[in-house]
Parts: sequence; C-alpha cells; structure tokens
Amino acid sequence: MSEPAVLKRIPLTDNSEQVEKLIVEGAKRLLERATDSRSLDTSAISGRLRSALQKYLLKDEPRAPAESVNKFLDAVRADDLCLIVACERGDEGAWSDLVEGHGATVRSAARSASSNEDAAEDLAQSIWAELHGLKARDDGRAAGKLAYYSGVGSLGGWLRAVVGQLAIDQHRKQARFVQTEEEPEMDRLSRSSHQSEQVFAANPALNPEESLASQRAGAHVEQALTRAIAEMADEDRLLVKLYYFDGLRLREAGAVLGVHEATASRRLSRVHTDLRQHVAAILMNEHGWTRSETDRSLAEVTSHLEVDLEPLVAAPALDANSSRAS
Amino acid sequence: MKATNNKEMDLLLGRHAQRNKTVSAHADEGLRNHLDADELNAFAENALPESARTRYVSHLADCDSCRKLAAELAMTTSAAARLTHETNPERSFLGSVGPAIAALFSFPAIRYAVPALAAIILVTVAFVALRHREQGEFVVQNEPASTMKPADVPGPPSQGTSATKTATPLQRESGEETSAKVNPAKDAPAEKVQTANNKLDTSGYAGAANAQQPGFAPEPNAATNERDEKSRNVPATIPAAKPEPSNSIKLADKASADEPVPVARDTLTVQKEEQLSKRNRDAGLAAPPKSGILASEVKSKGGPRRAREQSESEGRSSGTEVTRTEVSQETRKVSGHTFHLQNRTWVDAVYTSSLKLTTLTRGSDKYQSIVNDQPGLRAIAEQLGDVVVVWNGKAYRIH
Repeated sequence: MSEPAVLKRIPLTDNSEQVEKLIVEGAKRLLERATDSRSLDTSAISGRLRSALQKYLLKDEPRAPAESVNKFLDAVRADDLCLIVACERGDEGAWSDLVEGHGATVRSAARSASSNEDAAEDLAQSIWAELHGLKARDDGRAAGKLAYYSGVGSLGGWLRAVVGQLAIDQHRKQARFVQTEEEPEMDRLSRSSHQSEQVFAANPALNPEESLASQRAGAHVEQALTRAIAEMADEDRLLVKLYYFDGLRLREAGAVLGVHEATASRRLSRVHTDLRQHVAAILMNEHGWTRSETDRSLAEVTSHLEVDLEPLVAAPALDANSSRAS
Repeated sequence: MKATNNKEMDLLLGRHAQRNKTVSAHADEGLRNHLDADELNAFAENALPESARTRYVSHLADCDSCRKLAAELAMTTSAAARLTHETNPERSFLGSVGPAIAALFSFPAIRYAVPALAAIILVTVAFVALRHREQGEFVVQNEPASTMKPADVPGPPSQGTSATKTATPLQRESGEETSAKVNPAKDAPAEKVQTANNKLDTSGYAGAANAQQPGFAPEPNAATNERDEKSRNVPATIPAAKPEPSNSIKLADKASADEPVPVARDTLTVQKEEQLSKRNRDAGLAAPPKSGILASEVKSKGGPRRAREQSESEGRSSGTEVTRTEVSQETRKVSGHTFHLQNRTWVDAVYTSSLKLTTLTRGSDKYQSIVNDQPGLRAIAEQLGDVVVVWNGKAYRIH
C-alpha cells in the first residue's frame, strides 16, 4: 500500500530519462486538459503521475514503449487529480469543493457498508479525517489517504473504495475485541465445513448399501475438485469465486471482470468443461479410476446433489448432520 | 453430454462453494498485499493496463475481502456509468463519445435492434394491408350490382342514366348530399317510413333487414338520386314518385312467384345480386316513399312470405332511410348482442378487425350445422340480414 515500497521494487531502467521526459510532458497536457487546474504546476502533478505509472504500468512492463506510457498518462483523470493534489497542498477552496462535490458519494458508500444509520454517519465522518490525515508526515504534508489517489480511476470510485476498506478495517477491529453476533455462527459454520467429509458421509439421503463406496467416491471427487479449482487460471478462478462463492449473477460477475454478460456466460460454460476434464484426469491418474468409473461417479455424486443440495446448503441441516456424525 | 457435464460441474461447484466459503473468509486474513483503495477502484473501473490487471486478478481470485469490495465497486460503477455517461464532461469528451457511436453499430445492436426494427415495420405494413383488404371486401360486395347497373337500367333514360352515373362514383357523397338536402323538406315522410318499418318488425323485419344486404346497395341511392333530382326540380312535390299501391303489390307478388323463398342463396352471389338489383330497380321505380302504408296492407293480406317480399321492396324503396341509417349508425339488439349497421351490414359491437371472419351462406350445410347447435346464433341470423356476429369468440359473416 505504501508508495516507497513500490518505488523500491521498480528497477531503474535504461530509458528512465526518457520516461521522466514523458511524465513531465504528460503533466503539462494534463494541466491543459483540466477544466480547473487549481493553479498547480507540472512539478506538483508529475510526482503523482510517476508513481501511478510505475505502479500500474512499468512494474509489469519496465520497457513499455513511449506510446503506451503516453496512453496511460493521458487516461489519468485530470480534474479529479488536480482537486486531490490541491487538497493535499492545503487549498481550502479545493477542500470545500471535495466535501461538497463528493459528500453524497461518501454518505451513500458509508450507508451501504454499514449495518445501521448511526454507524454509517460515524463512518462518513471519519472518512474526512482519514483523507486529510491528522498527523503531518516527515516532509510536512498531511499524512492522509489523499496521497494515495493516482487519478487512474474516478475520484468518486476511489472514495467509495476508501469507505469500503475503512468499514472492513473497523469491522475487523471490532471482531477482534468484541464478540459480534456473526462470530459464533461463522465459527460453527467453519467448524462444520471442516468436517465436510463426515457431513457428506452422514447424508441420510444416500442409499445405505452403497453409502460406503459413495462416501469414498464423493470424498475423492471433492478433493479433486478442490485441487482443480486451485490449479485453474486466475481469471477463471475469479469468475468461479464471483459466481459460486459470492453468489453474483453473471451480469455482475461480468461487470467485475470487465466483460459482457454473454462473454461471462460463455466463459463459465468453458470453465465447466475444463474443470470436469481436470477433475476426471485427477481421479484417473491419482486414484486409478477408469473413464467409465469416473463418469459414473460424477453422475452419481451429482444426482445425489440435485436432491440433497437444499438441505445440505441450509445451515440447520448441516448442523444436525455434523453433530450426528461426530 | 456436454450440457449434462456442465450441469454436473455447476452442482459440484455450488456445493464446494457452500462448504468452503467461510473457511476462506478466515484464511484470507493471512494473505499479504491486499489491494489498496486506488488499485481496487482502478480495477473495478477497468482502467488498468492489461498486465497490471492480470496481477490483481490473481489476488482477487483468492482474497475474499478484496474481491467483495472490488465487486461492489464494479457494480456501483457499471450502474453509475450509465447515469453519468452524458453528464461527466471529461469522460464524454475523451472516452465515451467514440464508444457511444461505436455502440450503435456494435454486435448486439446490429444483431437485435435492427431485426427488431425490421419486424416492427413488417407488422405495421401487414396491419395496414390487412385493414385495406377488409375495407376492400365491403367494396367488392357493393360493386357488382352498382357497376352492372348502367347496362340494365330500364327506366327513363334521361333520368335513370344521369342518376346512376352520379350514383356509381359518388355513391356515398350523393347519399349524404341527399340526406342533407332532402331532410329538411322531407323529415315527415322519412319518419313515417321509419315508423312503418318499425311496425313491420314483428313479422317481417328479417325480410326488411335482408333488403339491406349489400346487393341492394346501389338501389336506394338510385332511388334517392331520382328523388334528389326531383326534389331539385320540383322541391315542393317531393313524394312525387308516388306509384299505385296495386302496382307495387303486383310487383311483390310477381317477385315472390318468380323466385323461391328463401332466395337461392347457394347460387353465385353475383347472379343473385344481379337478380336482386333488377328487382330492386323495378321496385325502386315503382315503390314510393309511402310504401310503409303499402307494406302494412300487404302484411294484413299476405302470409309471412309475402310480407317478407313486401318488406324487401319496402326496405328498398325506403332508400333514403337506409342511406340515412348508414350515417346515423342504427343499432339493434338480438340475443344479447348489439349490432351497428355499417355499409348495410349488421356488425356486432364486439367485432374487431383482428378477428378472423368465417363466411356462412344461409342454407349451406355449414351454416345449418353451426346454426342448429346454437339457437342464439340462429335467432340473430334470422332476424338480421347480412350480419357479422361474434359468437363464442369466433366471428361469422352470415349472408
């Protein structure tokens, strides 16, 4: 999160002088582009541009061509960045513009991140202090979060992200010292899911005669699936997590991945196919199953799932099963 | 097979997620290098260079708390992007004008919007064409008789031809003109005819209604035209074409003798219309506006058949009235259905042009089989002449 750490990791490249020139030119263009440059000069902006460029482009492509550097710099949001830099420099007018222009965004983000209206109000209030920073940094400037806005995304979105992270931080602090209502439930759920194999074994809907073989087959399938998911491509695993773990709809998952719903749907379908092949390969290679055994087991496990998914998903059933198992 | 495999994996992943969710929620506390707010936001707004993005994807795939934040931000962003697209000047200036234009020609737009537009145009054209055809049906039914007319006119050449010449192309206009011009002078006789008509209702109205079939259409106009001319020529003596009652009766008798009743409805419509229009002309020349009196006379004398024939001629002769009802939207109620008189056809009030029309000819097997099962429909068919009725959700045209 801290800029110096990022900077340290970036090796100086041969074209660093050229990059520096591009940054200064980019800063000039940015100030021309801004509707209100808030009487900033290129030196005030170029520091931000430099760290953003290194964080998002040069870190992965140290020898990025001038074309992509310019493209990146010209996509930076001029007005948003000027406003934030001016705020950080103590421009009172800029600060009141920020509070006026984005107060509503902060309040709405705080409301959606909080469980009640009072908590939302507290969160929204604490944001401004977080932004500006109560303590001064070594160089005399405010040590607030304002220093971390790059201008790559919109200012409104960044403020929402800041609010969201602050809410998570506060929640974590609370969870650590105070037992919240969710905590015991989460413990119980995690405990019972640690015993997932027993849960599966004790599933009463399974035919008792076949249950032993089924148990073993089910456990193997589950293991293979866990491994197959872990070995998936990141992009695919993210889609699976968004869709199955977070319960997002395909349209929403597509929005996160930056693709259209139809693309997300096609991708998910391909993921199913790939994943099945991978699971089957693991089962055949590691457990010596034949192809027909694999197909049969998968079909069998799923046919049970189709019937039992609801009780299995529902927490009370899970609890009852696990207690009986243990 | 592939689909079932996918279903299998879907179910397995669902269970796997349920079991492991909470474990990793605790596990990710051990992860280092959580994304900072700027990284999360840049990722969520898809503003990162590809290589940096890949780096963050691998962290997000394993870190639940960062992933949840990134997902929340991405969803807020995608929702807000739609709203602020136009309002954010910097964005629209640099980034979104191009994509917005490109979006017009994008694959989904071309794939869905263009065919949808084509489908809408097609439906509109089909609807208009359908409506035209329905109007055309009425025109076609009216036309044979009227076009035949000039050839057959036996009446006084000077009057008849001039009347029919104007009658054919200017049918409607002349009718309206007539009612407009004649009405003030002729209100009394017209009302009289109407009351006479009403008197006929019990026994002979079916016939009277029959007289309002399209086949008879031009005749009333011709009659009115004649009268119109006369009224122009001799405005004071409007009921001038008053014929001898005996004449008319004779005519009616002759008609009933000539033609088996019910009229041979199976024969070609054109044939029938030819016959009818001929008779109409005869009657029209002979029938006076006073034929109401005449009709009641006949009613007292003749049986129902004669009454019908008589009322037919009455219907024809009281052309002014028919023309007027066309304008004034006469309404009748039979078997709980309300009918409006349109183009000499009784049209069910609930009928809409979207209903498919089944044509039934009186006396045909189909007509009998349908009507025998449904006495209500029979009552309508018998009491009204040319009728469009909606019965049990189906539309029938009975003539």
